[in-house]
Amino acid sequence: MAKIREFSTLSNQAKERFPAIAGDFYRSCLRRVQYVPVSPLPSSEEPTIAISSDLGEVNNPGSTVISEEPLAQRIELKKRFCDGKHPEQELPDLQEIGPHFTRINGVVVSYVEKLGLVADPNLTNLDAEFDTLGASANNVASSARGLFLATQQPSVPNTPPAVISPEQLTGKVDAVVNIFGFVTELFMEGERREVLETMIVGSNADFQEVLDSLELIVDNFYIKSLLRAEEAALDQTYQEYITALETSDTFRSGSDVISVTNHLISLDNSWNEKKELIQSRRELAQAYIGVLDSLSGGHTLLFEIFTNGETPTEQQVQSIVDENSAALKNFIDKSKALNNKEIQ
Amino acid sequence: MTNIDPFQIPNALMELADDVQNFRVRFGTQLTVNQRRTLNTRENALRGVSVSLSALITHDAIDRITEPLAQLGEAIDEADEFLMAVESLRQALGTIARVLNLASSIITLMTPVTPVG
Repeated sequence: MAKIREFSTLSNQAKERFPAIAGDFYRSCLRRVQYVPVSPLPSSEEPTIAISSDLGEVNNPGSTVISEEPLAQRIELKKRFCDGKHPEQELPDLQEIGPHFTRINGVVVSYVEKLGLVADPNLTNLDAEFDTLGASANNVASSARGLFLATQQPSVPNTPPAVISPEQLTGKVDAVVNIFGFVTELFMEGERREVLETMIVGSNADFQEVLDSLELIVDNFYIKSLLRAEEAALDQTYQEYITALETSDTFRSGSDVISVTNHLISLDNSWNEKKELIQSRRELAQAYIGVLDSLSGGHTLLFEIFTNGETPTEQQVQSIVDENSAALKNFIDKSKALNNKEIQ
Repeated sequence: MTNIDPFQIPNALMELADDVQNFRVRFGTQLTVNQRRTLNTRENALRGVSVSLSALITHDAIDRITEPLAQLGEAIDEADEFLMAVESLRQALGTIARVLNLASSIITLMTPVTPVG
């Protein structure tokens, strides 16, 4: 079925792009901790408070206080919150969550691939093998006929008589081919349905649980937590820079206004580009959730059909494959869009 | 006792941080550097706790699906067995086709040659 092949091609393309999400868990954290603003301009007000720590350890004496110096803060925050080396809290190393996610996703991809292979009616092209077999059988019968006719020639008197007639030989060869075909058909029809049914009915609960977990990780951890915090840190940094420029003595005194204004516009553009990248990453993650939802819906439908003792019709299978292909295509498009923005 | 979705706790902390951020942006230039930094600290603290909590819950969620993953692995193995059986069948068909072709060639070789003239 051409649609299954298209799905398989899309699935292979998407497979190479899935790690982009898992790999970004750690990178998003790295970007976030980099957004600790340095002081771009001298200020008339000197900072007097101990500076930020993510867990509110500002007034906590001893080793938990993070340096006031922005660059030192970045290094410390990375160690504590990205690398899981917090002195007081047992936090996971975000570098480990990415590979775990990739492994789980890999099992899902592998499962769906096997399901597609088992369901594919053109699996390993058995029809072509049967055609070759039939042609070979005909060749044998035809050669035998030639041999039989040749033995009847009077010019070769000592030729032994044929022990089997061409008709008998053709019959025997046909019988073997037919029995083989019959057994194969039984195997393919019975076994294929049984394997599909076992996979779908037996795995539905586990498959749905795994898909739910992947969706939970991408939606809650990546989109609503990591990317959201990264965007907030980005906003905070640029707001700080812009406020510092706007309230600077140079700007207030009116000297060099054009230069400061140009700098403000440049900051604003850079801010927007970075926000745009975060938005593209969010859209890619949402497209991934779309793939999970589509897989979940298709699997549930097949589960219900098999549970009712029925076999899915070709139309039902086509509709499921179409929906999954559309979700994969959307994911691939979003991934390409993100790649284009990243290399700009 | 009310069941609380653990993932809602990080979200609630993020919303609190958003409120702090909105306050800071709203009063922007009216705040002193120190006041802004204090608000930044609070916002960062809330977001930091939220992300850390979310990471912990995620870590836990990964552990919890070990069993369903193993079950899916078994289903993959069963499919593999079937696919290997189909492949064996394909190879057997190919072998028979080749043997028949060979038989055809042998029969042709055995065809008696009639002397000319």
